[in-house]
Amino acid sequence: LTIAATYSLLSNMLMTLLLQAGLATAFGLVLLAMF
Amino acid sequence: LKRARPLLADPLFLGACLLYALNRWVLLPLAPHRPAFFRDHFNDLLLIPAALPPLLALYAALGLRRHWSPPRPLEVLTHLALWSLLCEWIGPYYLHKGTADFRDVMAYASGAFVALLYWSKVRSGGRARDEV
Repeated sequence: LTIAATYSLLSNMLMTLLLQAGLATAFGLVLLAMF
Repeated sequence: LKRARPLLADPLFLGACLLYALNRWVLLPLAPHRPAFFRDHFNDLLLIPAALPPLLALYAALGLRRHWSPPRPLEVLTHLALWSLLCEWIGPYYLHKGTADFRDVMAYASGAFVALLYWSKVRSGGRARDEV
């Protein structure tokens, strides 16, 4: 159960990080045209 | 919307947006020969103060950030690094957009440093108020 919970927590964190990185990159492409 | 206030009603964010708009859309047409600093680097100082809060608000709205508090040091540093890479390396060399100039990175970092000091102060003030 602990391994499963840890796996779930890590995969959630990884997914959050990946989504944040994707959004930050997309937003950065807009900024590239502005700054 | 009230939850977003620490990010989107922040005086530093609003002031940075106003200065960006003034410099880009008012001063440039009125004074195209203004000093090089205002033409090349002034808006770069505003990158983190103007661009990071709305992105963090988007993260929070999508459930990718657990709180709506002002940007934290790690968030400022990671976005500063990513956007510097994007604007000064990937953009100019791979997308043929913009120019690579190390002084731009110094300007982004200077703006980020001042913003970080301000947001740290706001956060500690908020905590102090909460404790009263």
